[in-house]
Amino acid sequence: MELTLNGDGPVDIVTVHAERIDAVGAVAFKDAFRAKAQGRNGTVVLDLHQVTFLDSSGLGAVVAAQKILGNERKLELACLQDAVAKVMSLTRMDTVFRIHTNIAAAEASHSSSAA
Amino acid sequence: MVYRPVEVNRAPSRHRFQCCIPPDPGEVRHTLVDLQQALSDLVSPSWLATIELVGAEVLNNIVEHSFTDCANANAFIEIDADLRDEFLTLKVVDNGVAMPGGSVPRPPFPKVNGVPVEDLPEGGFGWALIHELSSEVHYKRSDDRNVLTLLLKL
Repeated sequence: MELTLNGDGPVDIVTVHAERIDAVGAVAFKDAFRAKAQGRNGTVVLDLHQVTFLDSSGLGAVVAAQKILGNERKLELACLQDAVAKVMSLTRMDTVFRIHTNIAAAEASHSSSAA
Repeated sequence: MVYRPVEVNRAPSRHRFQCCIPPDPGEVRHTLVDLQQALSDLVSPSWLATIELVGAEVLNNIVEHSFTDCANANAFIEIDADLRDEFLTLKVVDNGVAMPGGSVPRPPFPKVNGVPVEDLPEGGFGWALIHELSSEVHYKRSDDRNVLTLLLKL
């Protein structure tokens, strides 16, 4: 699964280039995320704008991504499509992860906290 | 026993999607995408998403838990999605091992709010999602097969 990292802004943005994070792609997502998160510091915003489907396996992989970051670094989510937002809401994971409507909002929230 | 592709029977008020696949995550993904396409003109995007999620949880459970004991060359999962008016009946039959206890698990959603990062659950959501999104869930063991029938009210 292809993930790209943009580390130039006020917060690291990791974009998922896949339509599905499901039972097929969960392990590949975790491996790719670990590779992007390594050697960096601070919060990571996961840009999910391309993801149209997330099942409980995919949700588990997103939780695993937060565990990869550990206690010191936060995972936040951005650009959730309706089906993904619904899973987050049903499972109450929207109380665990801070969710941004778009990347600009995610960056803005981190620039102000840094200023 | 295993056949693809999908058969879609289109009567005026009844739409039926049937297929039979080996218990494999890739086959499950293909089936869910095919089911989406078959139903895409018939139900709202929101319901389409619900149907796909419930289908994924049911089928992934079967792939993970029903065929764990040994490789079975004849292993199959039959999917029959029958949309009549406002009701979708999803019947899934497999020839794997019986459900432990002879009934479907009914766990609550795992607690997540206020849970430390290292203790956050990475699983245990599947059955809770299925029950939350289905109006009825029925299970029986019949002829050495698991028969799971869900009713979704659109």
